[in-house]
Amino acid sequence: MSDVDPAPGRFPTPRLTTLRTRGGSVSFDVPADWDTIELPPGSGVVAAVEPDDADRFRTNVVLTITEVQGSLGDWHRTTQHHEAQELDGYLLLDHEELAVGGRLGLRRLTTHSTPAQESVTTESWTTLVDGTGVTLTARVSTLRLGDMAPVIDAVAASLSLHADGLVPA
Amino acid sequence: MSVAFDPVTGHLRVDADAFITLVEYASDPEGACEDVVARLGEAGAVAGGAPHPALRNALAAVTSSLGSLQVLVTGPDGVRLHQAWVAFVSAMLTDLADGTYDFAAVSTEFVPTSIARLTGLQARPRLAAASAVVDESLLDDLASNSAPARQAGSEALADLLAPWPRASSAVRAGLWQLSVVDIAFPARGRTVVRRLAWVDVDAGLLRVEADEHGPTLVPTTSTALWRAVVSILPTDAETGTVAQSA
Repeated sequence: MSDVDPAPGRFPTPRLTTLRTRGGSVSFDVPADWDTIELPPGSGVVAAVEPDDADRFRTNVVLTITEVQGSLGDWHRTTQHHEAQELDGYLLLDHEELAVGGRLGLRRLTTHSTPAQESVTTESWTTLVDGTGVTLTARVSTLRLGDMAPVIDAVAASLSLHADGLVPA
Repeated sequence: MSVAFDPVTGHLRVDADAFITLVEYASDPEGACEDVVARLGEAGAVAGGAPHPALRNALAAVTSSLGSLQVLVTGPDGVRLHQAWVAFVSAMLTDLADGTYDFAAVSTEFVPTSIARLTGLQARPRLAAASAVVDESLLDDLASNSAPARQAGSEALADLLAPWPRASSAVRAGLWQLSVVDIAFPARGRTVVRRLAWVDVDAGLLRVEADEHGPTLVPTTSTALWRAVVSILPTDAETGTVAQSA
């Protein structure tokens, strides 16, 4: 009855390269031809953005490392509430508990409208390591999700965490 | 006849006769029913011999669509059949289940979001890997306009979901919904038809798959369904066009 391939992967998964931060305690893969940003160095924010080769929303992946008070569930609920309040047309599509970087974590799938009236799908993976929150967030133009899903899946699967260096001594 | 129009937002609430007349009026003003046109005029939806400018994009989608899309949503309480026309700027006719419809333009890239809202797509518990062969007649019953037929269908569905006891219990408690998304569009000299169907039983999601043996219910996730909803739309390569904002 259904004849729609949920992840057609019209484009092959590109060659990946590994980004590292916090002395290599956190790493994840991104397409090798994407622009990478760390603002400011040591801040705990690392991003990779696809090349600006067309007038369209640039798929991007952002890793943030922040101090968190409370449990993973509390942090998740606060983040969820904040995004629902701040983002236009916000819709929570999925959330689940799963392993993130080998630890208990959460995954969320949402969509919203950007100020430029673009439909964006956001998928994020979050975990908490001794009070340090790690979130990997991928954003893609919704209509390009079919093409980009394999890339996003590969980036998420590559996330690696090591407590040494991630949590302040 | 029911007609309510907001010229600021461009949202129009109409019954089926008024909508059909409006579309006829947009392409052939002389051929449209005068009485209904008069009612559309009283509501401000037509003026000066033409539909209100705020309706222009939505009507253009209907009269010059790249593809037609239907979203059927059925459950214990009834059946809703929503219609969309995919174009440079798309249009949606949302079934309000009271004999009236909301008609509005929607940016094509937000059509998946509209489908997600109309079907209530959301996170559900994951069901254990298994599958259940389902008879076409059961799906027909679930989609029927007849309440007794839907009731019979839900009882059969509850039996069919025995491999997933919580899902089966949810159906017996009346917590089920069948969603079917159909799209048809011309591409490269032929008509492409795609269908996506799933059952939401509150305790989980099951996609209706099809193979040579017929339909089968297979556990899925809202993430997989969201990707499938996005993928059901024609690509620029298929239509040879690029969608624009409303």
